[in-house]
Amino acid sequence: MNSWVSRIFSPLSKRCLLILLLAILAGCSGRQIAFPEPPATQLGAVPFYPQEAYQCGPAALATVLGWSGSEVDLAALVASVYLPGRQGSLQPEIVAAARRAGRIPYPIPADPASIGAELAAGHPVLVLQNLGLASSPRWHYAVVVGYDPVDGNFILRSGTERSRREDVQRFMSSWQRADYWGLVVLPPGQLPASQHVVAPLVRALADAEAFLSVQDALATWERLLAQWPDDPEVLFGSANARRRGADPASAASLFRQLLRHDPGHVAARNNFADLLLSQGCVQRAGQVMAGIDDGAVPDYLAGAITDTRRSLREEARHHRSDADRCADW
Amino acid sequence: MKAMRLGVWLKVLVLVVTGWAGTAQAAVIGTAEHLQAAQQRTDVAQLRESVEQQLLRLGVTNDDALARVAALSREELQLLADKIDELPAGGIVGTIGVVFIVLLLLELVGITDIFTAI
Repeated sequence: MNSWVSRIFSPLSKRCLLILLLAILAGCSGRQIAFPEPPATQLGAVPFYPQEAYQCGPAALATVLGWSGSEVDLAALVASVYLPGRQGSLQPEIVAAARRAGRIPYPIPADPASIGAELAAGHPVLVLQNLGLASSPRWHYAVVVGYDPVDGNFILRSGTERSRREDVQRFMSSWQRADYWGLVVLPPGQLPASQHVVAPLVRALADAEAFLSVQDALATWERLLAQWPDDPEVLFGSANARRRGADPASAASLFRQLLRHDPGHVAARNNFADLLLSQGCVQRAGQVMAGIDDGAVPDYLAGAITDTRRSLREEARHHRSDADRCADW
Repeated sequence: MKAMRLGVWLKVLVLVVTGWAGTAQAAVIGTAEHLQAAQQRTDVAQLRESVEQQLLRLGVTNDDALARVAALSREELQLLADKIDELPAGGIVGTIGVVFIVLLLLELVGITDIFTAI
């Protein structure tokens, strides 16, 4: 009776074990994390792809891509994100694979309130959790698809469980140990609900643009522009997208607006001049380029500026004067 | 005796001179230093190449590695180039399973220790 095993199973230690278990379940290991209670949600339309072996990354990505209306090929996603040498998937590659599927991955702010805001907007959230300890991490990807206020549980597509329930505090501490990393993967034309700073949105869209159709990219820039009509980088990105969308007149109006606010925007002057040249407005293009202060040209733009100036000189050789309409551009 | 004192003075002189030379050099940017700074601005093509090599090393096939690096932004490439072996690699099955049991066992060991102490 004095053995180690019998001690564990003695009535006293059983009671201790029970208390301990409850304490762990209640998330006693850390301080309570404060955040507004998430809305009661259950995004039933989010599909489920049970994971195999170490492949929770591809499975979680398939889940959000499927929700966003993208065709899902799980084997292709495994080939896009799974890293055999690390027996898992890395965050930047999950983001990149969402781009390759023609969707826009937006990292959400590292804040306990972000998930509730996204759920309220109907967006499932792909999260990284650390299910181990800070000192010996166990990294896991899952998708938060709902919240049940009755028992205070998040509902997740996780691993091999279609509707896994996790106590909010327990979930939050596992998410906190992963630096609150989360991602919403949205179809073109939609924006995340939790992000109120424009710069990360511009970055996310610009990075995804190469994998979007002209129309899809334009639709998303217009959405950003409607919300941030005065932001220089939103104006710049939208003007470029409108020009690619074969709408030079409306692109020109954005470039003009941008240069009125920010006359020193070298890239905007260059792109606007290039647009004007394509429209035969050579003198107007010359005026726009003349506003560039050579001392303010960063190295990485120098090549483009030189090219535009060369085209300007060549065009000017045969050019008499701008058409009247150029005065409005 | 005189020779010894001279020796000490010589040492002091050497220390002063080398010390001075050391501080004087801090104002000039050394070539190696400059090259290091330039390396931090490695162009995207080089970063892609570097990350592709790492992916191959970690078991990704040739074609996949090429397509994977093509979708990464400059910052993401830089992050992978620097930390591909340290970044969190999400992969475990998220059921109660192993982790929970490990945590429980850790606590159990704690309890048995307490009991033996009593």
